[in-house]
Amino acid sequence: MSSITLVGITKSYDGPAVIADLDLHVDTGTVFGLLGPSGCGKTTTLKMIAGLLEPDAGDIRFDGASVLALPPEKRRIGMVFQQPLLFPHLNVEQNVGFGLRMQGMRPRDARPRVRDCLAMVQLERFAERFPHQLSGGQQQRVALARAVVTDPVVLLLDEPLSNLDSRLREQMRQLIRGVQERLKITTIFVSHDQEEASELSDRMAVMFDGRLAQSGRPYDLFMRPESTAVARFLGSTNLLEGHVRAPGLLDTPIGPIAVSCAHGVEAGRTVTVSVRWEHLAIRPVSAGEPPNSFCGIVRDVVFGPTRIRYTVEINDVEIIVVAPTDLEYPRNEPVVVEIPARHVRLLQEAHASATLPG
Amino acid sequence: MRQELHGMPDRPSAAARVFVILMFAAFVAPFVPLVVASFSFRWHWPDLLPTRWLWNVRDETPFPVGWDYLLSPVSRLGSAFANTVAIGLVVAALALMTGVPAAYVLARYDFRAKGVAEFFLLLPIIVPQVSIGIGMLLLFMRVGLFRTYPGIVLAHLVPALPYAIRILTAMFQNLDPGYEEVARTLGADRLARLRHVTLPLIAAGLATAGLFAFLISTNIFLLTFLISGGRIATLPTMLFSHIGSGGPLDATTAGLVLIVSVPGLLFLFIADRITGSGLSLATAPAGSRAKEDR
Ligand SMILES: Nc1ncnc2c1ncn2[C@@H]1O[C@H](COP(=O)(O)OP(=O)(O)OP(=O)(O)O)[C@@H](O)[C@H]1O
Ligand SMILES: [Mg+2]
Repeated sequence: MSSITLVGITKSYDGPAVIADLDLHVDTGTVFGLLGPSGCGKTTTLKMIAGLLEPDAGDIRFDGASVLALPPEKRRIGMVFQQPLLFPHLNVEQNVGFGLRMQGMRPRDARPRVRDCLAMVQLERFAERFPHQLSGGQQQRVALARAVVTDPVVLLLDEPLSNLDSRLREQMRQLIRGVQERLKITTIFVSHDQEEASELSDRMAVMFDGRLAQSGRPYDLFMRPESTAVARFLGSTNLLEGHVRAPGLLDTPIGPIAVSCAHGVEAGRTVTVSVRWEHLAIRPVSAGEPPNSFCGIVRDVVFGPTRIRYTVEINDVEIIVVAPTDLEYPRNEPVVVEIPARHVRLLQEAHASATLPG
Repeated sequence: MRQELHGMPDRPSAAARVFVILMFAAFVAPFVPLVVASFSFRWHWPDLLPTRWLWNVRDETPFPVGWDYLLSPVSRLGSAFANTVAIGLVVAALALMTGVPAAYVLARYDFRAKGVAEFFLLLPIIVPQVSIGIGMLLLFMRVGLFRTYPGIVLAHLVPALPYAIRILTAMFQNLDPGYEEVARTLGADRLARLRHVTLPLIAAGLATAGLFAFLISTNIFLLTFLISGGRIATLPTMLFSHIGSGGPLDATTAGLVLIVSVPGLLFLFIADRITGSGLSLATAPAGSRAKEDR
């Protein structure tokens, strides 16, 4: 219900800067997914937005107005921490009602709201339980209910689903999405799970060492990674190094590839390109191969419920191809892998922000 | 319910039971001869039991002895008992009131003088009580605290406070700061956090620290003796004046020794009733227990 803007945020604990000159904007009522390796500064960022940590430099604005002078208790935020941190001396209902109680509401008046929120996380039956009588996943759900009961304008979720099994995770994802859409809370969501982040977020960003390496729609991040680091972190893609032989032609360890990117790059330079697993085509060896096709041998086959993942060895290089389930190629079968030129992405080595042609 | 809270099994094993009984016996054993002695008139080595009991000689002694003496108004036992308990309670309350903020700062913040502060907290435990006592005596005589209750309370705080602060510091260190952070995001200001989060989570530790301060205070002889100038009697000073008069342990002294142990036991019992949870010196504060739950 309130946009979030971070401008030039810098933060260090005792040593070097943990967050360095961070800019970030989340539109009103949208979900922003924050991804990044462990220790890159995700929790630190959330805590600064919450007001629990003070940035060394920069400004934090809700709806354009600086909130730096406001203590956390005045910022109207809801936060779910990496650990559930339920108050052990209060039962579930009292935990969820805590924020309302702080607003001076009597427990009797708060009860309907509390019950609503508990129903939302499917824990109505557990109102009387104490935190230590709940499973880890149940505790996290109580923490979520506790964070939204006060109608915050900003919701900060620090890996709130990390303790859940996949079925509950799926349910909770829908639930968070539902809550978020109903209440239109501007949400920042930290996750280690890419699928979760991409499913939940309107926009997302990958963070390395306290900087946003790239941000955009989930589709853009996955399909158009700008740097090797982002492509490698998001995974599910083949990274190939090659020399530019001529505009639109790369020499790579698997052979020469025609690409539609890299036209502006001078010949002779070494570049890295990325081709997503599912963008490669695998087909039987036959006469009349299309361009950009390479012969290889299937080395590994992994079945998934909706697709098959092949590891194909081409010129001593292992390339991963994800293919539909309609055809199956056994191990050690010679196959042809086609790399569509338009799906080859040129990457930058460093994760700077300038965009390359392509 | 209480057992559930601690996540303990319903029944202790046989070995655990034997252990508890042995411990109990070890603590209780020294009291047995004291009880016997407090009723004896003549009890010489190597007799296993007194050869003459008090009730045999009640009419023969010119003045009351043993329990008869202690329970008569002449002994002033009542006022000494009241003094001891009152001073102990005030000391415990003051130790908590000053100890909680001090321990919080020691546990949560890093500052340059921290090492110095910690050293001064140890000092009263290391330095002999006579040195502290004489020093305070000289000071108190000048500022009008000599022979006063406030003077005695202040003197008692010197050894009591460091113990309380140590216990409280350990407890705050065990308490995850995350609870307070969550409370902040839920709109709790400093006072509300203290009242609704921190204090309930540290209740057991508070009771333990208070108990320690109380026990230390009720056991102090020397400082009370020096600062009271003989005007204000507590159980320990009364006891020592009896022991000081020499002679073997007579029935009166034995009875007094027993009574000296009463305030602590009483306090433990009441504190346990009030906190209703895990007041015991062995259990961890609530906050650390919760951490294990996660
Ligand atoms: N209280 C602290 N004192 C000193 N350094 C800290 C403190 N908290 C975090 N750091 C450091 O700051 C960096 C960022 O930490 P942060 O907790 O924000 O990482 P994160 O991205 O949330 O990681 P994770 O995914 O593991 O939770 C880390 O290198 C960490 O070691
Ligand atoms: Mg974190």
